Amino acid sequence: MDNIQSKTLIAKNLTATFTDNCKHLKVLQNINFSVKEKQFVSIIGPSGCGKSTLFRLISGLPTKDTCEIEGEIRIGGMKPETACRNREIGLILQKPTLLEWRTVESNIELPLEIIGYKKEKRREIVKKLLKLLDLTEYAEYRPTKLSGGMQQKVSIGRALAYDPELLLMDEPFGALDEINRRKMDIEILDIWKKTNKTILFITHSIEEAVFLSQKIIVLTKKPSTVHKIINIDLPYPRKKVVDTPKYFKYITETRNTLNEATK
Amino acid sequence: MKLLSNNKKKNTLLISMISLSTFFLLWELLLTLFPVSETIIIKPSQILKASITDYDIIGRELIYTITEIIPGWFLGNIIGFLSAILLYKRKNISKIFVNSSVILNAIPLIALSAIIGGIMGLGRDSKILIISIISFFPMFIITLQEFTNIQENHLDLMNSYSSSKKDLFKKIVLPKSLPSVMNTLKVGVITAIFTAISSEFFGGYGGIGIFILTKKGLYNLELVWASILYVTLFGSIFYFTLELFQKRFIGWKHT
Repeated sequence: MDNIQSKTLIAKNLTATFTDNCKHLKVLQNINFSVKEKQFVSIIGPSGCGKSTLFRLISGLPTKDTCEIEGEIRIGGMKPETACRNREIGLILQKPTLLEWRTVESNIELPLEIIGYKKEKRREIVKKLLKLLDLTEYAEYRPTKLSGGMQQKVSIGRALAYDPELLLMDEPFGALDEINRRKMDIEILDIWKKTNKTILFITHSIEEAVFLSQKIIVLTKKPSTVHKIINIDLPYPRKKVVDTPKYFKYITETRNTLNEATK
Repeated sequence: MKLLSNNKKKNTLLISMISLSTFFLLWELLLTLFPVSETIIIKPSQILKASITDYDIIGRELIYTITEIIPGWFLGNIIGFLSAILLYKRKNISKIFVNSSVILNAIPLIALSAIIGGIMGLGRDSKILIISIISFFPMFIITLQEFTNIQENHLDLMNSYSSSKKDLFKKIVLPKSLPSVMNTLKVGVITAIFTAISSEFFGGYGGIGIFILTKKGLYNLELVWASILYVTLFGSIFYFTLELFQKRFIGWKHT
């Protein structure tokens, strides 16, 4: 048993059942995994396998239907709801969900306003983040003027604003084309390195999972459970290793594992 | 890109100016070529002349009607907006209210003028009341619909910040609804003017509606047309002022 302090996220015997209209639908069954501090971990699984339910449970958001949950999730030792209240979780949703009536900088400022920081402090944080994300020249833009990738970058900035321990990303680049997605993948690794955050990344792209993560959690189809955990033992920056046989080996391994899991 | 859209705007303005003036010129020309009795229709030049020479009489009547329109429009809309704020959290009650409002709104409420006139008399206050009632429903229904129709993504986002209900309203619900509220206000101007004049037709102590009725009876068509021109001018100024305000303050989503 590892030291519990070094683990940011633990899911233990997690089972979730939708209890809607007397119909019982088991979505998650006995899920066990952990994410260490400052680790980059991806979750991959067939579509409709309950990735989004898992995402909602970890982030402490209410599930869409009434859901019976067994087992436990701990984030820095806290329940997800408590961790959320303590602002330990930064969410990046599938859609950027930027407020169109606010400029880029004031979108990043939003969570800080809700927490109640003073104006100077907010400005200071936003300025730093804009610089980190290389968005300074777009500070005054309305989000609708930006490309999909840029919008998602702003939403990452917004999640980073209150300095959470854990970043949860639910297929953030799923809507982007191949080229922009790779660009964003490189950027997110860069941000990860600069900010030292723990990242849990949900994706349905095998290549993206291998490119980004240190560890890939492969889920089975419904009721999903952890099929296998693949450790990706490749150095960063990954840009330099994408053409190596080892990289392809990991992709093949992940694909085969996913195929087994879908059976 | 910006230049292009500016040019486009100028073009549409030019085209509408040209077509309007062509329309009036044709009207003038046809009546000059084929004279028609002045008790039926008159020339635009006569209307223009009357509206300049008789500006004081028409102006007085217009101001009387404006003092009905603006308070009525303002009261109806503000009460509609505030009721929506009060009710939007109570989901069941607001659903009932919206449904019954939609039904009530389908009744030609202008007919109430006769009843309200009977109860409150034919003075300004009864006109203000009927304009408020008619302005209330669209504002109430649309604001409530906007308030209750919040994107799930936005809710998730605010939940992830453990935001209070108050912050959710201030940061998301209210700003997202403003463009629709503004559009309703703009459309409401036209409705308010229409209601004021029609309710004056039911009887009253002054105003453009009464003026039109009496001058029509005297076959003084110049003054009838001139008052229509005045009302149109007032309506346009009111509408475009609101539009300017909208562009200036909530320009992110302009319709």
